[in-house]
Amino acid sequence: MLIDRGFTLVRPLAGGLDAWVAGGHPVEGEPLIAIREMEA
Amino acid sequence: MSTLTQYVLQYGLPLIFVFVLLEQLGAPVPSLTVLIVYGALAVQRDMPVVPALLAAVLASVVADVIWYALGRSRGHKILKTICKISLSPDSCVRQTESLFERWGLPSLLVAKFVPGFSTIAPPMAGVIGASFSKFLLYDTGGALIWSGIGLAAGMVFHEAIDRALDLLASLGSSALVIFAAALAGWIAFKWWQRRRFYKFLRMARISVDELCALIDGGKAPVVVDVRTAGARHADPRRIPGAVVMTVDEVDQKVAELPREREIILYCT
Repeated sequence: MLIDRGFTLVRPLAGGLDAWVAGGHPVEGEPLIAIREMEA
Repeated sequence: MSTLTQYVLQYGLPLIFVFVLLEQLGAPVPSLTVLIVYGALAVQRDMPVVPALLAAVLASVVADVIWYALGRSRGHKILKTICKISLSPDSCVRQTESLFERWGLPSLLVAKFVPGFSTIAPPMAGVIGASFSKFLLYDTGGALIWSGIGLAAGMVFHEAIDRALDLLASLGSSALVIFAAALAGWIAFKWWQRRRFYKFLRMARISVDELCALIDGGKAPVVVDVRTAGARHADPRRIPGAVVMTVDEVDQKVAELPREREIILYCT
């Protein structure tokens, strides 16, 4: 959709968020399970 | 008498139950065709319709409850699995998520009439943690509407359906060959379409290491989180600094994206 609107430098991240997390890189926010465990 | 008519006459309710169950579980079986034929035969041979309706609704609800439970227990991963085995391009998850988020559980009333959505909607309801009782209510309503329309169509157009079945019977095995060839052609086209889409993705994609190199090198790419609200609710984590933009928001937010910088999109 972005390419259709004239953007040329658009690339998808291989593996998505899962790959970013698996690479040990920092993330913002906490997963729901962790939040529920913190609240318990 | 066509083979289909023979089977429907001989096995009736069990046939309806099995076909509807299999199709709602995701198998490519023509359960709606069986319902329509049964409806036509119900008029011509004075067969009971209510048991057929109940069999179809029960089978549909059983299958959808299984999908709902898988959505609850496995989360977003089940949707990715469905789209992996689906012949539609990978965007099927995001498009159906958007539909579901727009209309909510009432969309289950018409989900079975929308190709692709009917398989995704029940597990989606599980993923977002929808109340089981509300899910059951709307899903049963949707199954009633879908099955009822199938049977009613057969009953209303029984004469035309009878002529169509006679034509199929006269064609004999040729009809089966024609149908099989058409189905094979459609599957081959969708497979080619999917391969072409993934080939494009493979050429264009950026690895996590490459993205880190871009960021560390001061290139400042714009990272965009394109997950739907439901997916972000299921997993609130985000790549630091990522801009949130769903498919529906592209027109509103596209002006905010710089054209001279690399745009990196990610979902789950």
